[in-house]
Amino acid sequence: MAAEQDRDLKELLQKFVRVRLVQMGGVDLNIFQFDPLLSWALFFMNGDKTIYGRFGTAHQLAKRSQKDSNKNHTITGMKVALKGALAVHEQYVADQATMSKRLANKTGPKPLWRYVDKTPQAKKYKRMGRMRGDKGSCVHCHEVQRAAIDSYFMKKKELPDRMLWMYPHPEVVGVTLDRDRSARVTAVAPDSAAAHAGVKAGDDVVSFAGQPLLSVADFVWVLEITPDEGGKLPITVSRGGKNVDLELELAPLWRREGDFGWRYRVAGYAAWLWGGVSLADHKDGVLVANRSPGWFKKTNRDGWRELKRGDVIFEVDGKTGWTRSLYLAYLMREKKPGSVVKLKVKRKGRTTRVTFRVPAKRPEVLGH
Amino acid sequence: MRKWTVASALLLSCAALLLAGEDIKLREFLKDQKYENGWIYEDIDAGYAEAKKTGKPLLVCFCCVP
Repeated sequence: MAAEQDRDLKELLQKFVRVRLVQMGGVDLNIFQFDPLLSWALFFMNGDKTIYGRFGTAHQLAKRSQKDSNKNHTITGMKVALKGALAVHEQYVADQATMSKRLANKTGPKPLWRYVDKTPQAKKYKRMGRMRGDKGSCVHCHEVQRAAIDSYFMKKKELPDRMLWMYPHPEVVGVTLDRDRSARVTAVAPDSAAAHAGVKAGDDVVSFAGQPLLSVADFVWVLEITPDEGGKLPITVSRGGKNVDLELELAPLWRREGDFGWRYRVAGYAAWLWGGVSLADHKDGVLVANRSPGWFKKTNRDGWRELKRGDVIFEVDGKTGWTRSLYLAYLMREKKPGSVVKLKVKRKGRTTRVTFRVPAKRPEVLGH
Repeated sequence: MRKWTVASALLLSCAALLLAGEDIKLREFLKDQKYENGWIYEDIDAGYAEAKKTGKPLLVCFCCVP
């Protein structure tokens, strides 16, 4: 482990009571909410369950595997977060009343189910339970998302945007943050929400929606708990040694600026709906970048047979001009088992109509 | 009455041993010895209690095992 080679890190870690949890069965989701794509994540807390902050952010550049998502974790960034957590702890101990208010929203709204192993999906498949020493019974972090999505279907509830475009990256509001710092802005996209708010490259975000920030994950967390309808978020940046108060305004449907098609936990649904093809956004629509091997093919043989590598899908059920995330969200929300999907694709320069049926059975794939 | 008390105590002890066994099985399965020193393993309540007792902040690591 890095701490064995890094004395500073080891000393910092020793200032904490350290707990390691290796699977999600029985974990209280009222408290521990984090991006389920991560293969590891940290919480900094008080013993009274008040959360000081988080560390660990999955990133859409990490498209290939969970291991890639760890590239967003740096030891430098982790040390910054650990030091920040110690400072917040001191403040909390010194003035609990004030800090309790600032930290209250570090704990998220209650999810539909407090424990992943109590979701309807978990009950159905009976593969989720306390780890008993066999690999099959381990509830992985990423299965929290899958279980929640499946459970929405089973409860016949419409999936809200926050269940799909979850844990939005800072880029969604127009900022790029330095992963080695708590929240230093390295770039601001022109005409973005951040640019309109007056955020500038070189700013250090010291407070977002009233919350102190220990890492990029804390910035992402504020976005995660912001309603799908948007709103105004106070943001304080340190610029040239002075704090500057700004306001970030998010428009309704703001989450859809992002992309969730890279989140492989929705891959089971994508395979079921599209036929096991890997899709990428394209200037003319959505590109069939690849045809996935193995079990994906079996999930929807019709789609697998009809769509070819290199196809550009530019119309789905009469809807055009969307991204892969918007199309996938539409299909996930609207298509029931046995539904027909009608596409228009460009194949070798010609427009082709493609029709296939969504399989009669929803995917039942858990785990890897 | 005393018999029932003894029987209950035995039952509780057995349950505790079984639970401990689960924990050991888990560790063996994970073959993950490097985290043992100084880390509380798979017991968040023990973490809360220790943090309250020592006044230290709590660090909770969620980490999949490869």
